[in-house]
Amino acid sequence: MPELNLKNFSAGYCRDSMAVSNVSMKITDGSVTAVIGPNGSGKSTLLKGLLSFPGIYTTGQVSLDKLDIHLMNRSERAGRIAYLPQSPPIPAGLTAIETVLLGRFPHRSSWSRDSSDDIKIARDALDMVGALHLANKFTDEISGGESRLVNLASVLSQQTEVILLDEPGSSLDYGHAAQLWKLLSDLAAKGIIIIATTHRIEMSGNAFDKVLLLSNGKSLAFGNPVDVFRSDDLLSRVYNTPMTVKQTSPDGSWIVFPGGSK
Amino acid sequence: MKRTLIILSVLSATGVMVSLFTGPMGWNAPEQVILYLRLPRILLAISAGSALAVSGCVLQAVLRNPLATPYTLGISAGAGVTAGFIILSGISLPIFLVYLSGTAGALMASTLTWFLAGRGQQDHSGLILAGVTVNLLGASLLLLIEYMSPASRLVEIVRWMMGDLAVAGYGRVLYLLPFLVAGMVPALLKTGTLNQFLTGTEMAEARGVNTTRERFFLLIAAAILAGGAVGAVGPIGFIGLIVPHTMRRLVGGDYRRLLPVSALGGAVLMLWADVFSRIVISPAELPIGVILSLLGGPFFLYLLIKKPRL
Repeated sequence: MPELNLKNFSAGYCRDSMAVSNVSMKITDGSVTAVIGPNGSGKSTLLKGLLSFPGIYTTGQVSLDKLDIHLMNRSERAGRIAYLPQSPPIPAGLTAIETVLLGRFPHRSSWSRDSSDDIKIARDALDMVGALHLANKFTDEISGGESRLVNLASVLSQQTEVILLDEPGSSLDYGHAAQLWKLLSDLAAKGIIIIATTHRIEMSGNAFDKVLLLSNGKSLAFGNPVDVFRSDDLLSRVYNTPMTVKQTSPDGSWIVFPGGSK
Repeated sequence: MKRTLIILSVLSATGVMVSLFTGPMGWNAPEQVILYLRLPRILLAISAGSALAVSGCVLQAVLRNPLATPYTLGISAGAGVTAGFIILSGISLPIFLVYLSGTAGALMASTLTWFLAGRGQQDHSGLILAGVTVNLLGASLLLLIEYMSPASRLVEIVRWMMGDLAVAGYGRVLYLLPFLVAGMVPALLKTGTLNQFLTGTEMAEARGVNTTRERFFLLIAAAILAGGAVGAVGPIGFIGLIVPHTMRRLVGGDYRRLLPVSALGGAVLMLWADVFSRIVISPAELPIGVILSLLGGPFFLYLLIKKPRL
């Protein structure tokens, strides 16, 4: 089982003022961690900082299986950690299956043709996100939500131990969003560490095992959802509005909405 | 893909045949004319056409801009300034150095663009803006050179800017060859990386591409291809725009197919544009740059209306 460890990790676009600072968390097995917090709290920067993208400054430690991620070479890192940004460009002139196959890049040479294994992995990934029927459609001819699924499949085809997702459920309808979080939950059960930022906790049902709550670039809480959400009025203070947090029975899905009373 | 390759192969084979026998005396031209005037001209058209097409194709992916061409980097302006300066000065240089001056100007301009854009630290739009700046700067310098030129040299400068494939012997082809190899080989080996640029810098980085380094190397490859071609045939425009977009429609956007097919497409377009340039006002020749601009202008407008994505 992989182990991801962040110690006093900070990231930002400017050395002098980090967008997110002093985050510490340890994830020792396959699980889904939801990173939540208001707009501008540093959720996306945290994910980009983990991969030390150009233009992002970081301090502190981040390791995968005790290996410093920032010391890994790029292809080794890409073979272990995948990332899906909020709204990546959709390449025109490529079919969905060709777009998914781009995720196989870390596992082959730059110019080589797609092997039958690559194609099988890509088709399986499309099948997992429920988009196999789109395989031969051009990506500029499908809807925004369908593109999101195709991009997600391309991330899955990278076959990594850690998957970082920035707002994976955005632009997905209720059905596909539920399917997405169920899929993430299933992947976590197979030992994959998933960290996903989200604004819509209720869309994820009970899929996440841990919650990291950020506010103004600070980590306010990290732990089991029950512990984080039961903390007295924590969400109301963070979002600066009365919040209602409930857990339904019997499946334990979370319901979070502004206003109301507990 | 297969159909496109067959069509392009047939077009290039017929283009070569027609070109071999187009010109004064047509089929009956002496062997010397065919061997030392027409054949090298064909080889030059093929090499320069594929170099310019591949250069445009690479730049469109790296800069993520469908309207990017070799001239986006300021290559045309740079070559124009150095060539204009040499023509104005009346210095008599060995022919090799005349070609090299155009290439040197093109490469210096693209280097200036690269530095103005913060050496790749900024995003691709910064590079495009820097290219526009360098183009404007070069255009102003060229205007100054033209203003200071006597009429006879002015004609020479304007004529050079229109592009020229007329050759005697294989000197220009041999001049272009090392640039063609030095730019084409890395571009072909990096087709998978070019595909990654299509999904944006962040996805490419996350899949193991060092985007700053790769963008730099691919820009160098594109500049070498275009710089070599501009030195050999003058700043012929639009091939880097027309060919990749047409080929993208025929074989899709996967650069592992698109790039080699664009190389072939560039060769075909240049070959046939050259044939037309020799036929239209025969026995005189129309500069090939004029033919391609007449084709390229409306094509640019078409792209503007269709708003293609990458």
